[in-house]
Amino acid sequence: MPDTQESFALKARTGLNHDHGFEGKWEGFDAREITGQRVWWGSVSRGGEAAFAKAVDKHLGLAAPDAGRFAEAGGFRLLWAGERQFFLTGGRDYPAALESAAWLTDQTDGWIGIVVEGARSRAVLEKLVGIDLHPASFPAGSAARAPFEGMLAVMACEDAHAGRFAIHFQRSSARSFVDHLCHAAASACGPALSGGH
Amino acid sequence: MSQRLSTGGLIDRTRAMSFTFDGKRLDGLAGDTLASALLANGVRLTGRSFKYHRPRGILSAGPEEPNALVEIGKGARRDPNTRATVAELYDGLEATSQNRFPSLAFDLMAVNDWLSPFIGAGFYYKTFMWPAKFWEKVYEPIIRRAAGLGRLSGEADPDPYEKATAFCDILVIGSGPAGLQAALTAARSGARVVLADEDFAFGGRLNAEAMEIARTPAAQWAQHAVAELSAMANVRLLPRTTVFASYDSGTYAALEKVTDHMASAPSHLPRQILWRIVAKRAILAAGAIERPIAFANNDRPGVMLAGAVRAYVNRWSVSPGKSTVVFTCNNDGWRTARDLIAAGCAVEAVVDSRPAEEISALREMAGDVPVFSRAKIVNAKGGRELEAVTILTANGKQVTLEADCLAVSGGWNPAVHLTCHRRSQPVWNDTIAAFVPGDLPPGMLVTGAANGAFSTHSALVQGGEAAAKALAELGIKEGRSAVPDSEDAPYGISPLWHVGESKGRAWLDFQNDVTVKDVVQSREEGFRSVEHMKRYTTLGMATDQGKTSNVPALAVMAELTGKTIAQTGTTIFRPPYTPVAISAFTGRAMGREYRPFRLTPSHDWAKENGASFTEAGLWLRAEWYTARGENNWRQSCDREALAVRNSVGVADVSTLGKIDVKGRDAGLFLDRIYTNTMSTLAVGKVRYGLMLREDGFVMDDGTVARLGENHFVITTTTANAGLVMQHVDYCSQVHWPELDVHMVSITDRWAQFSIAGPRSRDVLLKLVDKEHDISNEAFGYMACGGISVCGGVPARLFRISFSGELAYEIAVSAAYGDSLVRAIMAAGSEFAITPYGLEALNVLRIEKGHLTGNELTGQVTAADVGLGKMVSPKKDCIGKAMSQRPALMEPDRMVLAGFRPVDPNSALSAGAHFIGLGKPAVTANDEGWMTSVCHSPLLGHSIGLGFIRNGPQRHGERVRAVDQVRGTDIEVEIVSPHFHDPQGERLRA
Repeated sequence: MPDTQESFALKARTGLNHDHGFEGKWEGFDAREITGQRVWWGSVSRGGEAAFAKAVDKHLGLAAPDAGRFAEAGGFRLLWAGERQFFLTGGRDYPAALESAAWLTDQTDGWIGIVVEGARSRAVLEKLVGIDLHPASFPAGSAARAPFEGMLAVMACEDAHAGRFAIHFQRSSARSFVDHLCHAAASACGPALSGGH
Repeated sequence: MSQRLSTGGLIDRTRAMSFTFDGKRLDGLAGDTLASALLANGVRLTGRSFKYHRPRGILSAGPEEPNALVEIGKGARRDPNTRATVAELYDGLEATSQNRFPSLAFDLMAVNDWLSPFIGAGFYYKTFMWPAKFWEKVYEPIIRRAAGLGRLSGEADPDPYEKATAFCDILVIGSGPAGLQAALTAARSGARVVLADEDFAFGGRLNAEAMEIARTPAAQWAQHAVAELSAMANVRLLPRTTVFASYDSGTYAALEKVTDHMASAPSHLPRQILWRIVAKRAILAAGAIERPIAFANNDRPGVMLAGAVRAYVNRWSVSPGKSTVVFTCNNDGWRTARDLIAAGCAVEAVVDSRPAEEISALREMAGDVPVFSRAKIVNAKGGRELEAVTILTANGKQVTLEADCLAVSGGWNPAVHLTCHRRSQPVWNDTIAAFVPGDLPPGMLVTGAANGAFSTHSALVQGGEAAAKALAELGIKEGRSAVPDSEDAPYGISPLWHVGESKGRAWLDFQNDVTVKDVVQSREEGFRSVEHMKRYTTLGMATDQGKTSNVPALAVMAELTGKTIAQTGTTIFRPPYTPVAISAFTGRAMGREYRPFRLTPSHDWAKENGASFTEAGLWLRAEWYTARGENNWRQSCDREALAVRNSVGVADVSTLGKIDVKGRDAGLFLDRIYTNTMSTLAVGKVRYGLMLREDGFVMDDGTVARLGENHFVITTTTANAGLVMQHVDYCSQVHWPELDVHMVSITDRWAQFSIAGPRSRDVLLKLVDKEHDISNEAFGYMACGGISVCGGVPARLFRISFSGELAYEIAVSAAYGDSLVRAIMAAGSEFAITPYGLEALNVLRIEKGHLTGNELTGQVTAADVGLGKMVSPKKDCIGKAMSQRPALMEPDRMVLAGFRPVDPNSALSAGAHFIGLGKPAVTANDEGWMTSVCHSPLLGHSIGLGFIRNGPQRHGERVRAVDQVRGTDIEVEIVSPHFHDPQGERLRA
């Protein structure tokens, strides 16, 4: 029987080449790979800021974030990533009408997300990233692009009290990223209780 | 015999610790430093001096120690030049003396001391000048062997290190009275505080002094303060942490010793952490460093700083000697006598250089001990330890007293070092006869002894005031922090730098063996500036950086030159304040973690299939895949290259830079970036492109694919992906901000594979969903478009070829990369599809005459690489004008050509230079060089690409390829760079 295209069915792997995503748990620190998330990088034409703000309000139901902030609604998160640039994540495709106000590029699978959380999360992250994550300086809703042990990362504080941060980084350096993360977690919290590497 | 006192101290007498020094087993207690434990065991001789190999003992009780440098640990963990005074004792510590042969007690190199009249300051410069060729082979090796301190292990450091960043409102450096009061004031007010101290016990001098604060012992008050601070969420305590550098924007570097004090460290902990502390304000409360007085033989083991003697008695409950003489020129030295007496230690005399009327109020501190006023020590007698001191009394008589410890206080120098790292200069203060901080760097405040406030009360007051000022500047309301009661005794110094009446060598710099006589000689030979003196005499160099010697030495120079000390000035203090291991600066950036690595989507699959990997930028790329029976890379490479020529191969090309370019002006933008026109490219087509730098040389090459009216994807070489992204971003934002163009790297987004070879279409037909026609007619050479594969997975297909064969690049979302390569292999199995790596890729492209970084060196023009016609005459682009400079248009420039050996059995080598036949291989005859070579399995011999003058006009001519590095000289024929299918028929098939 001749091969058919369907007989070569492709299977997606997470950024860390796990079937179900990476997970690790340390005393006071958890890390979990975000799976099933769509990611886009967007850019707004010069002079189109107002139209963009209106479009995201209308189509995503959220206010365009100020510099260093993110906004979320309806399963979408819009993160400020530079002048007239943004990082959009969601569990489904964005409404096509958004393209009338911005130039969007699909980055799904190119950017990998990890959520870290716990009382020791800042103690772990201070070994990796040179930005002030204290709740007074980086409260919930804050976002930043920052070098993370020499790798580009996009960070967002989801819950300052719980020490929960979402970190996105490029897929090709995902294992390098997680190597550093696990090492820092062990250093700050002790050996992994489960997962890690 | 134990010198441990029966009571007192901050040591834990219930926790005994065993350690060794030069192999001898000794006992110490928890809370000891190595120095205090050695003294407790009666060990006086701890090292040999740098040049003269004079016996040396412990001088200080802190980081300024110049003498007691030892090696700690063994094997790869041997740490040389460790100051015994700051090495925290642990059970099992192994310490070894250094810079001696064969033993510390009997050091043959001590003969240098007898030769001292001939090897004073500057003798190197005068002695080892002739004959010149002796320097490298004879003099330097001998001097290096004779000098130096500890030995490096010569092995890789096995311990982990880390870097970390901390932020705070107020960084307090030092935890003596001023630092603690500052930290308490700031922390109680709610500021984010970091308190760092190099000691393992917070408290600074409070741990070393027998005094009270708020009617409690000072050390206890410090413990209470630390307990309060440690309970506050807004405070981070960093013990064992030396803030060693101050940089711009309130950034401080600090080294935390995490496991140095542990006999066996948990594997998950780093040995040390290099902190970058970003502080809105920093309060320097680093205290002060006591200075010695120079007199004859003042370097004998047993001659110690008075404050250190006090610290050993009060903090570590150790008597440094059996009988002590105190020599001072200030009130502080008297405390040593007082505390020794109180501890039951014998004090033979107090010798004070000041007149009797100035010290009358102090006499009661010495009890019945004889006091010599207006007197000086002129000699310290003994050999490997102090035996007696000679006192020059007020009436000119000399009195010799037996003593094995001499406690010397020449006054205190505020630790101003961190105030100077940003080039501020300290200023001289006559009242305390010391340099105090001058103009302070932005954001820094100095307090306590570091600011010249030597009484405990004044330090506490200043600490609170500094914190209040910092809080006010930060807009934080100050909470209440009363200053507790404490001593406020006057300092009363009458400076004494050296004893002029002393006969014999008087040491200023113990670590570098610099004496008063050396400074005199320096001055006589014209080296009068302190900076010149430092370099001429080597004063103030090495691990202690002159902490105890700089000020006395420049005071001597001031005397000699008739200037004031203020006029004489100091040398410049630079980071680091204390030595920092190179490993700490590297942090985790060692071995595999030297830099981040990037993996291709097919990495795991490649590994499973025998790939050997090489670094390409940060990427790990498959070089070749070893098949069964192959035992060298050439076999694998030849097999892979032939498979592509004869059937089909697959390679992961995801590493090529991919940039998404969108916008209404995207086409126009690309016209300005590339030499050729891109705006005319049809949707669904790809064009090869060349971009120049501003200076007209080729920057990079790649392809431009038009996926929509306002949507392009450009590719770059792997190595230049970041550079090109930066370039186009810069052009967009700076040169042409008016253009509506938007760019983002999508390199990581797509898993992209090259399927190359005459059967490549056959393989693809099995994977590409039926609704997409990829026949030659429908999807011809340089076509591109969105498709779906394997039953609906979105993909992009590009019909482009680097190998010169019929070839495609297929891209899917990166998550499917691993799965797709497995599917390609399965689909291609009937055609014996072969994975190929970088080596085969290189062979294929050289056979085809395609370029890589070997050719695009940054020094070649488009014409040099045979692509001059790609610079469109109809439009402008970045670099076009500069590429037309006369020198770049000269007709005899070196231009790309192909080369083949006349003898097909000869192997060419890259880097060889082309020399005309019969001419000597010298620069004057250099006609060019070979850039790339390979063995072509297709042609059966070596081939190469290279640049040679007038290359295209010389096809058929013979020259020599001379490689003087490898020692080859091969006759080659200049040929077309296109060795295979020059008409391009195969890739259009």
